[in-house]
Amino acid sequence: MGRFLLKRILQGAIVVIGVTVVVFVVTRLIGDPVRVMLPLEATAEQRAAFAAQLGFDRPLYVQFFDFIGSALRFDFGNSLWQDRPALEIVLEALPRTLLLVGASMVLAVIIAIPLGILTSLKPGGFLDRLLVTLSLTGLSMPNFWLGLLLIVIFGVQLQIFPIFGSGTLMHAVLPAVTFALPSAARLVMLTRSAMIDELNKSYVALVKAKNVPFRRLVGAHAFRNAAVPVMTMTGWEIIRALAGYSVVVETVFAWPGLGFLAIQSITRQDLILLQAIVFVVALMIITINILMDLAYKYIDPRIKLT
Amino acid sequence: MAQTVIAPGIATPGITRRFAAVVGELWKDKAGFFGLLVMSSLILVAISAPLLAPHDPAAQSLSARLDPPFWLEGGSLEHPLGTDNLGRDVLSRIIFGSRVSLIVGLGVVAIAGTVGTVLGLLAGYNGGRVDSVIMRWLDTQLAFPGLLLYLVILSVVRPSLLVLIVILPINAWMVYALLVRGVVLSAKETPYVEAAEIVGARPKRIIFRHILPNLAAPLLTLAVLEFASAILAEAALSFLGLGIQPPEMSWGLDVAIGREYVFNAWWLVTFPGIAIAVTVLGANLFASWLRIVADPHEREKRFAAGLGTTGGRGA
Amino acid sequence: MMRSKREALALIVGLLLVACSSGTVTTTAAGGGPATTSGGGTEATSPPAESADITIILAGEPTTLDPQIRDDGNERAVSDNIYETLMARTPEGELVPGLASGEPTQVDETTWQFTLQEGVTFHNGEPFNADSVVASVTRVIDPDFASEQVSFFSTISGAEAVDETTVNILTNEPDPILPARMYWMKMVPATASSDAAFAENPAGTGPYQFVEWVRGDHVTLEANPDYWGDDVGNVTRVTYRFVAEAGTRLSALIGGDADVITNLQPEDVGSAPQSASVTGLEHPVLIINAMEGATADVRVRQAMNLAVDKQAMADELFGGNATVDQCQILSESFFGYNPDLEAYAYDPDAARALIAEAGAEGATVEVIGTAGRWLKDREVVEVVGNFLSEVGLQPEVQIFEFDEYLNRLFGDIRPPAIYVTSSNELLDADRQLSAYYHLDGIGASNEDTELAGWIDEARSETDVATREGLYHQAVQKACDEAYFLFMLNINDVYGMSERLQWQPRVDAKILVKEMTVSA
Repeated sequence: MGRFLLKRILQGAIVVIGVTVVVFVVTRLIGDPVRVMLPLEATAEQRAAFAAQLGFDRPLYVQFFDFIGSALRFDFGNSLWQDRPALEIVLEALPRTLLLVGASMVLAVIIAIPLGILTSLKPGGFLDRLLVTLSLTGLSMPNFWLGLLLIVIFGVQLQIFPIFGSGTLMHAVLPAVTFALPSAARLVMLTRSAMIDELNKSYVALVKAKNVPFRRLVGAHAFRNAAVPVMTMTGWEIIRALAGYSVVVETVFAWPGLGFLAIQSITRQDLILLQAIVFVVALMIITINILMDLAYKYIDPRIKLT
Repeated sequence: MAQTVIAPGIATPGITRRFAAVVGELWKDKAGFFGLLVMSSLILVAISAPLLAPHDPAAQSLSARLDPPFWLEGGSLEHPLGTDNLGRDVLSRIIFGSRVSLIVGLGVVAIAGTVGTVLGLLAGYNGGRVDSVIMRWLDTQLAFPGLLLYLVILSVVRPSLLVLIVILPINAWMVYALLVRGVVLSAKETPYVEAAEIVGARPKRIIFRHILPNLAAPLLTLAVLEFASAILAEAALSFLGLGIQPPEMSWGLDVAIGREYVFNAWWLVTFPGIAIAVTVLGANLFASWLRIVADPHEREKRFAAGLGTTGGRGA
Repeated sequence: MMRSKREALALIVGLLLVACSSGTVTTTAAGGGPATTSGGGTEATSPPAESADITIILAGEPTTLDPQIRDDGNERAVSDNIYETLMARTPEGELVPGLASGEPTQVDETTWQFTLQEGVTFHNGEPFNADSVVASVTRVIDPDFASEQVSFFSTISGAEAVDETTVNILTNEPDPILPARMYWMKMVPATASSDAAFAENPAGTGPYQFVEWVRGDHVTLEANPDYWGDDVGNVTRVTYRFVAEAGTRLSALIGGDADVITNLQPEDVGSAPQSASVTGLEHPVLIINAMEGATADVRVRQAMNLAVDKQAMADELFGGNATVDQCQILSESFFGYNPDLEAYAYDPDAARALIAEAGAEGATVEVIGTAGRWLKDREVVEVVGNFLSEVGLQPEVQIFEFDEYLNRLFGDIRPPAIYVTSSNELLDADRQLSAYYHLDGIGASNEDTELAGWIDEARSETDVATREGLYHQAVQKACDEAYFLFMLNINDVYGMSERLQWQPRVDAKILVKEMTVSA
């Protein structure tokens, strides 16, 4: 167990360093924050002075070692855009993204698992066909488009939910649903498939023969085994949401989380902030991966952690 | 003796008969049929876009801005799905936009599929050192925040169709490698591959004769699914302004333009979005069907299941 | 009551002014036709409320509330209510004393003397006096402070206190527009501003004081009970929220969650409960390369100007919320505006003839633009491209991401034609002419030494009439030579709730003290 953790943490450290290096190289080699930060009418001298002030005129390798040294101390420097520590800004936005992703995953799981089990009980039936078709449709819709449709219907036409910002829980409803629907669709399909596999297995026939009530059978035996792939998928959904879809969905709803922050830092060429975001997201992903592995162990003690 | 006489007839039925059988089977599976229909229409529309489109998709008309679809007051059959913010024909833009989706989908699948398959073969067949290096790399990269890295790259490289086709495979190759490696590993266990190795057949020959045929069906299924996910990725990036740039056309880009006008021109976001969703749905349904027909185990299940068991890949 | 008093005051100030200029202000109540704000509309029907809380939605969150470090319109929208400047402007753009008690006097060529209002204190209790002015000037021009606003204050070398309420501002060279520069420099308290946490605890002399800033969500200000001025509306509390999407801002306004929203899309004017449109400072324009390629021929450049139907762009694309530029990148309210110039007519036939004469039929002209930075920036470039193709040129429209776009705009290799939106908060021609007309300007694409000479001369010419003459001459020549594809002056369009009365300003400042809420 200890060895396993150590190994995973080491692996995670490699990923974080790799991500940081890639981001640094890509942004510093081609991007130029000075031009973007100053007003269009500023003179060449003013630009040079500004670059010198922020250290962008130093050789690239000096900037790089400076950066790595600071990153190890979790000190990314001040955001060019907001002029305060980048990490502070990221840590302000992080809970909002976690809230959204968390809420949407709970929602997705609550919707998907019962539906997935329900469909698996009578494969090929009307309900199964309906739900499968709905699920496929759900996961074929682009996230940003689904969000816009929800805005048009519930925000503009019906005016039920606020459609921007993050003041109250009501604000989280539409973005969370946008996140949750495609995830739920994928989870329905997966739960269904895993359950069909389990229910076809011979031990199920055996248990059935022993006269165990069918409901208990589904709950206690079949689903316990089907839970592992479902959990893996849920973990993946969380990672996908954090590492990518948050950018799209948060942008659509102007939800001030990490993804929205990433887009804003890109348009403002705030490289320091962008690096901090990517660093923190990579850290989150690694943590989730390790937590997932531990959860497997809990659900199915037969699984060996190596 | 009788077997040797009959066997060739079963093993190589006439091509037309096989084709008829496949189509017949497809027709029975309405969803799969719909998928095939969508996929082939996409290709047809993309190829014959200039013939199908009622207008030049780039032709502007300042006096005909934001005209609604024909069934609404103020709309006309001149522009069946209305006009956009510069008075361009929405329908024609959707027809031409299919080209970008098709090209990105095919391009990304070709590059990612090739790279992933080769690496998967190398890892699975050679095992040992090669396998562990490739799998380590894959494990590490799986933990990379994918879309975020795209964004970082696209924020400094001027995005274009070509750039998208080159960078999307950076993440997309991994699924192919995993799939191929898995299939190769299990194929290696089968008696005929073991026998071939004992007899001393060359690795190349073994791969081509015995392993690749096993790969064809799952790879094809995966390619169709990945085709859909490449289309979605392109649309999402274009929507964020980091993909296809105007005056080029793309469905995602058109949704982004329409977003500014949700209040007074809902058709601008709606129709390109439907185009994306239908295309992706079609690919997903087609892939589900492919998976079932290609996999005997799945075929059995299908009798009970009716529809595909894997989800497609979606946004 | 407040309102009529304010209007009377504005009228008196207006009469006292020497040079006359005015922006056109129209407001439209939903469903009604355009009407000037002062005339009527809804305000007469209900009396102003005792006090009111309002919400203003901006297009983006301020990056900081330190008023001296960034060049950020969202920051200004908030800070303009917390901080004040020595010079101020009327809603119509006239320069008037603000924290200065009167017009400044020029002691010698490089020294301007200001006397200050007495009895003014900052929100944190520090007194406002000559020392605060010196501290404010020193702070913003300090190279180590790296203010993005330095280009506004490039001539200022320092400041010295003469006595408690008199201060001298020193310049490197004679600077006729120093008073205008002081309209841009916000006065900060000497002690608090040296604190690192100043941006989180802003304290100015203005009519509103800082309450809280919940990052990512809102900024709240409340009325300053000890405000020295008496010209204040009935808004007691104002909350700023930040929404990038025009459609989302509008839905908040319609849903009653906002009293003012900025950058209302022209298409949405009809959907807003109330809207106001005022001649703004922004001039989208195309810089044409007069040095090489097909556009080196003045006939081609003139043809490009003739090819574009500017009026149709103003009417259709901007829904009437724009006016055609009169062959200069200046608003009427700017010093140096040449009233004798007229826009190139829309005459595609003449354009075709000129292009034929120049032998440039089918010539490729790259037209570069960007997206999402300015109102309809992408659309403008696409529309222009379309017009150019109709007169026989072959435009290659390229929309670049902002960073790459800036590479082209400021690069040494001048693009054939590049879009830029120029705005000038100092309301003086110097800034635009130095940046885009002068051959050394960062965005100039001509090699006209005569033109550059006039601009240099005017920069340190202290005689107002001579200086204005030089600008008229310069602007005239750039028009004749068609160094630019002159297009539009875009209005600032605001959406407002039913209960709010406000006349937007030509300098785009959103001053809450000028707003009144009816009961």
